[in-house]
Amino acid sequence: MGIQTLRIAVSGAAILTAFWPGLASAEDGVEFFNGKTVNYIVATAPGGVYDTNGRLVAQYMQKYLPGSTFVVQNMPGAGHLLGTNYIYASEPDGLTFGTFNTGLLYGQLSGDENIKFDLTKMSWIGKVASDPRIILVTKESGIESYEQLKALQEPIKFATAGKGSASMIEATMFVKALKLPIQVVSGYNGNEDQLAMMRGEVQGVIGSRSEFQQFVDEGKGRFIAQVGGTETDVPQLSSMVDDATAKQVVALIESQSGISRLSAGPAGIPEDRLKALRDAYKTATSDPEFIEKARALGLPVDPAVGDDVGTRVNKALDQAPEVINVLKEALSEG
Amino acid sequence: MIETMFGALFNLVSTPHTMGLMLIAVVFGLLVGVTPGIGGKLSIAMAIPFVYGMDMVAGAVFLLTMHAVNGTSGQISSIMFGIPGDGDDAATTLDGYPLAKQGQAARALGASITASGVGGIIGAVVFAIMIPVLEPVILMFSPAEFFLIALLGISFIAFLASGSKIVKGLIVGFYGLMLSTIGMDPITGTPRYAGDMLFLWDGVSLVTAVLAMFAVPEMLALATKGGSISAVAMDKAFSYRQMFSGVMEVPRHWWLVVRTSVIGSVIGMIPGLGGSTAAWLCYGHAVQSSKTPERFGKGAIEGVIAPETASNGKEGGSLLPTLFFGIPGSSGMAVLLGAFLILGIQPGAMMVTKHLDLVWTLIWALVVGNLIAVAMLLVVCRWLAVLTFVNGRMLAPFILVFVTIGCFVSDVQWQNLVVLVLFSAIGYGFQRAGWPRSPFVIGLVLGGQAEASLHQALQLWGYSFFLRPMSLVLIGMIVALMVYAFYRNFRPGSRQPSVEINT
Amino acid sequence: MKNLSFSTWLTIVMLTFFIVMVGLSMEFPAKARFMPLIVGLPAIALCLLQLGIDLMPASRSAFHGAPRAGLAQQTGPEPELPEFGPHTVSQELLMWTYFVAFIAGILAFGFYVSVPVLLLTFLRREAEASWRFAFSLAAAATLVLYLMFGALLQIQLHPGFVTPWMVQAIGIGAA
Repeated sequence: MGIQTLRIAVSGAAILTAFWPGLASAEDGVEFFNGKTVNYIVATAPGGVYDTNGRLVAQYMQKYLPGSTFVVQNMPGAGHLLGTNYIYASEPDGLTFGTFNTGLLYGQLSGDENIKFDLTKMSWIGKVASDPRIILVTKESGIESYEQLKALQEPIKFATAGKGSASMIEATMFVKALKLPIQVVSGYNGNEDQLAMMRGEVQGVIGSRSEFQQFVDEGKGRFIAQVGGTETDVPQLSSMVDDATAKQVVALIESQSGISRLSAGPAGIPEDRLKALRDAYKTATSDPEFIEKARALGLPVDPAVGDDVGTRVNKALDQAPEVINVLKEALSEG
Repeated sequence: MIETMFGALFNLVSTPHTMGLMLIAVVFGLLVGVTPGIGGKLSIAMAIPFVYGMDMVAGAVFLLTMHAVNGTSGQISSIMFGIPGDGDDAATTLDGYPLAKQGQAARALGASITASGVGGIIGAVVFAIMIPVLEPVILMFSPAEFFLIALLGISFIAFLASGSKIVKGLIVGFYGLMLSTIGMDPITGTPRYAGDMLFLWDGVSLVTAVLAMFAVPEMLALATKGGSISAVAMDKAFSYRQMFSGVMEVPRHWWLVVRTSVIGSVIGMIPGLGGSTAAWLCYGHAVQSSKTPERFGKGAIEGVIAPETASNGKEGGSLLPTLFFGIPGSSGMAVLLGAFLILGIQPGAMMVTKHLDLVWTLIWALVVGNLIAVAMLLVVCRWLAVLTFVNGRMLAPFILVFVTIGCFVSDVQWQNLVVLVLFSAIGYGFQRAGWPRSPFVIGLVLGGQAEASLHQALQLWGYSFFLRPMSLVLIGMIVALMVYAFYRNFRPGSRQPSVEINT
Repeated sequence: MKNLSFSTWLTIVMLTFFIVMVGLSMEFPAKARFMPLIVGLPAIALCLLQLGIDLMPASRSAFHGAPRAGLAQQTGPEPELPEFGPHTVSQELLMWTYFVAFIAGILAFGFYVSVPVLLLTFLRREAEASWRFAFSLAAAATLVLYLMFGALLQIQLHPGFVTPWMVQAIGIGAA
């Protein structure tokens, strides 16, 4: 070859090398996951709705990210804090993300020091469901409407999960902000609250509709108020509340309930990979098989993706000081 | 009713597909159960995707069998190496390992495997009998009763150490109770003793604590002493015979077996009494009801039979609230519940009326699964028992690896390994000084339950919760037991002078 | 200080433990303090009681059974475990060193490095196995470990703190 050809070849190669990264990254997104292992972190122990749901999501995302292998890792502890801290601190290469309880929102709002993450900065992938909250009372209590509840002379007892759980926080916030005649009895894990109601120990709960739908269907209790959701058979709490702070508290809980079963990763995942993940998530949650199985788990499937979720989270975290006070009071109760 | 009952059995056994699945489930469940720390829960959670395609019944049978059998193989490492897989197994280790040291591993294994099988079957039977009266029974137990039952279990500590060791036994028990306070308390949510160490917030990892108290000290002792686990040389001809004699121990102690299986399954039926309550309560009961309690901790075969029947019976019982109320009776059932939902099984009162055949199929699956597991294990254990005659120095490093893996896998935080070392030091101290170690697990397991339930009971009824009828019965039992314990220990001149080997 | 038995030293250790735990619990809010106190205070009493039993000369207290035929009751507790004693101390310490070193190894270098190292070293030095035997056992065990956990169960065993950094520095594999 002549020196001329050689020069052209070298400069050609130089130019190509300079542009190669640019060329590659345009397709990087989906391609990146080919042959890689994704660690999907579940912040609870195996079993239970978060875990089953998380595994479902992982399984279907794997289907729509060709070549990838999703490995579900359980990292329970400290009320989802361990897992979430871990997710936030991991490498933002798109290979680690997971699911945790949206209730951690309350923790961040109240300034919990053990929280080493910032929900506003996390890379949001999506959420699966909406989970309207309801106020439920047992048949034996004889209460038939929200007004009746408010008008009670003697407080009745409501069951919640353990101290510090989202269930207890929400119930206590409701009781304080709405000035309800309710004594909160905490420590009922899982479905033990239903047993407690059946035993007559407590007269009601504040929880998610999906969990108690069957209880109501079996005639053991009734819903007297609802927060969020599209069902029309139960009056919306917001319509029955006047006080400004109370309305804000209700709005906070409503925004919370709209972000159920979420998946998120650490801050700063590269755009293209994040997009690939979100797209896969979207397709996965629209897959009819997925929807069928998710429904079997009892949650109203109402997926949202990416920034939509992020905006909701940001909004939820932007609360007036009075509301934060109510929250802090609820947390220190006991 | 009879028709449905046997119809379900027939269907189960005559479908090769289902039987094949059960076989696979048993094998897999046994394998997973052998390693300490790998909880059955994890394996079931991972098996769920495989089950998606199957029809409802087949899938449910598969998962249930796997779950039922998970607890069974943990005894193997408990008896042969003194390595308990979880809190339940720790009770089996107390008498199982000393038996192995006496060269009777095959006998212990024979007894415990058979006991498991029988316990599981009786549990299924109790389940079936209780179906009509289930609701009232479950509703009788509230946090007040949970607290008193936990207290009852704790009071068994007094029985586990006798004579000159009673104070030491109590100290160990209180040590366990103290450790159970580590973590977030149920009343104020304060992370006690944990501060910034998030991995302690949920309390000390039970598997780590149990391994540190029993497995590590035994292994270190083994490595130090040399020789083999069994102090007695192996006699090849007797291996089968020995195992068979172990199997026959179960019918010999039939009354104990029935009692502990029933207690186990009743405890399983009551959601809220979780963990190893059943196994330890029954171990304590076996000690207390025996005429020669000093034998316990040194190789009393009842000490192997009682916890095994109880923990398998518990699984049968825990199926009840899971199916009929959608309220899991144990943590393993919680995983199964999710799986059942996905398979399309709707737990609830309708199970009794519309899906009784499914219920019976599941009961039979438990029974048949247990039988298959027992048969398989009995065949295999003869070879396994040989390991107790191998040079301890060869075994020790493998045991160590086994233990550390179990510790890490059960609670994925690396800090648990450090905790393991620290606690092992104390556990080793107890062993070397000859203090009884069994009260430790009772304290650790039941302490948390007692505190949480007490708090709830106080919230619900204030101090008057003592006056509920069921509570009074339980209080009466506790007082009677304490009196009996005192009487036994302080009767002058009634105990024979004997060389005391420590637990 | 007269020669205290191991058991007595242990009692002292336990006493310290309970005192520390009770002390720490003073910082908790009142209700959280309840359980630690209810456990800790009696435990302290028990430890003191046991110390009293150990240190008092032989007495006719109800805690001691009938004395051994022919043997006068000795001061302090009987030797509990004759197979342990000053003659085994060095062996015990050796075994403890292996244990602690192994754990440290896991923490620093991860399971897949420490396990074969431990097996090889121990089998070779303590069990006096031949190089070949020890090597093949160690290799086999590590392989089984990998197959079971890495491949089958997909559980990530602790990779250690040093190893991933080292691996990255050498440039093998992705982050």
